Amino acid sequence: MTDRTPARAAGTEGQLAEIWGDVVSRPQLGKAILIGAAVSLAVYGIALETIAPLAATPAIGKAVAMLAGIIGCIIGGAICARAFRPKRVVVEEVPTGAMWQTEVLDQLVQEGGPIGKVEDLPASVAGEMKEVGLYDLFRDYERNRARSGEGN
Amino acid sequence: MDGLLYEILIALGLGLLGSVLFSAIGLISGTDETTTIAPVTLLVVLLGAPPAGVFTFWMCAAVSKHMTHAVPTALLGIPGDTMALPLLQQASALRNLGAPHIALRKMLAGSVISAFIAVPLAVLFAVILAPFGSYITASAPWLFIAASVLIAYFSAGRWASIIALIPFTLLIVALQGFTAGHDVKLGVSYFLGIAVGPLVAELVSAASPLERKRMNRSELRETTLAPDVRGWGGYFPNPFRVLDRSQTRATAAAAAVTSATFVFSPVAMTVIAGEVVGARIKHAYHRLTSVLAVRNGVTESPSTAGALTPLIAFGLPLSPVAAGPAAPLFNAPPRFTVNSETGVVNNLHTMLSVPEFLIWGLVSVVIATAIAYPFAMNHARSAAVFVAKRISHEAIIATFVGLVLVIGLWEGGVLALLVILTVGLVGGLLYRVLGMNTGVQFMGYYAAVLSVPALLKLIG
Repeated sequence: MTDRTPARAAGTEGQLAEIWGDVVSRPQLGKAILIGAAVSLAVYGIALETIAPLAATPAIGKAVAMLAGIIGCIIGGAICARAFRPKRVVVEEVPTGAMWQTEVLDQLVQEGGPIGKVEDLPASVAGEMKEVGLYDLFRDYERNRARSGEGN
Repeated sequence: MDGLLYEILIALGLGLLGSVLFSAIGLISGTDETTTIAPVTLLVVLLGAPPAGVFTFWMCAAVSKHMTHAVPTALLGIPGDTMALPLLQQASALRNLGAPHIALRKMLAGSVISAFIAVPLAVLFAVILAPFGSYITASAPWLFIAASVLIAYFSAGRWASIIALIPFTLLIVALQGFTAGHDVKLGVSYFLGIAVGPLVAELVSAASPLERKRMNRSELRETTLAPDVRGWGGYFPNPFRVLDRSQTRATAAAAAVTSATFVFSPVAMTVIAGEVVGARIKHAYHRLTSVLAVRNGVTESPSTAGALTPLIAFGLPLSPVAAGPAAPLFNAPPRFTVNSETGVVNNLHTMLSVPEFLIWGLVSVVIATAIAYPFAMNHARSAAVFVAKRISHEAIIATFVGLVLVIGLWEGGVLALLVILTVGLVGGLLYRVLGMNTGVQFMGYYAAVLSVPALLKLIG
């Protein structure tokens, strides 16, 4: 038996992977880590050699160099942000009642118990749900569940 | 008089600086407040800022960060702070339903209400507790053991977390002995290691052929952003209108209760408060939004109380927050010192009076609310679009790697980096495999520092 990984994604991004809650490209992540480490350490090292000796005490000098190093991290991150595009597709419109919204509700039932009836909600909450556009979704979901429950 | 005016201006200025700086840092997902706030506050102390300025800087930084950390949590589904981890499930559900802005607003409004309640209550508890100072100081090691066992039991790992506390605490004791042998004393590095543990474990796992299959993906990630709904006019939405009445009540009650339980880890209190409130609400949508308001409110109150109450009452760092993000307010040698054997204290406890703590605490909450709250309310969507389209996850991980390297080298050179890697990998794996969360691990650290020496003394 050979250990096969899923097929490579199209494009120049190489193998994708989900790390720490989001999707990254493996080769790009490797490069990004090297850039982040190199830039922040370089800024910290330079500040330690040049600015730190000017401070009143060694402790303050080191702290200032550390602050410079933190700015270095942000510079390193900015370089990586320019060099590597996010691996996300941002969808701005949400169709109500779409398949995956129902899936979210299924998951809520599994994790947190009942969905509940919208009719039992205080008017302010029901109004808020209508404004957000989730009122119908929750109502229909609960009705369908009640109906399929009766059917069994 | 000029001196007084100068001190007031410096305090206001530093508060403003802390608020702006940490509103921005809060937007960066995954940052830990100990890792970011403690070193920068230490810098402010060592640079010689007046006591009131040190205090407002810390307060504004903490309160602001607890507000803006809601932006990545709600809009991107990545925790904005280790404190925001317990909010992720509810925030992700609302995000997947296409209403991340609702999650965000509930979290922000909860945070504002909670912060205003926590400051006066923390001062009140401090005044009540102050006469028992010597008794509490004497029993602190045992308090920390009891608290860590309780918090471990309430983590996802239950008994497994309690058992795992023993080797985890021993690991920290052993590492401290190892670095002491080379004349290196570390504090921030342990926090950093625990805080970035999940990231360290993920990165190391990604390099293992066994885990590769589980982690590899063949498609890009789809993120949805709902159209923005502005339910208010003007720049400053009234938090009491963002939350409905029952949510305001629940948030205020949770803030009041968690201000009193300052010896526990704020992450654990956040989890418990959410469970208690969520169990009482019948409808799923209302449950999601209420739990978010309460939980984000509870990221404010135990942090504020955890720093303020022991600082005002004893001047000793007797809470997880005081030993963590607020550590430089207690101990920043040579300027602030605590002698745990003789009990002689020379820090903000001796430099500011009780009314000064109360006034500057409230002023700080006002400054932070004036800056972080309207910023996050009004610009969250554009900030989230910017982050989702421009800031790749690779860049965020790279920034973190840089941060870990700089802070580690700053605190203790290569030895500190080794400690961060060790604690991070072990802690991260314990979290993923056993459900022993970072809050339990932080308590393990305090047990190692405070309880183990007392236990050893008892054994003889």
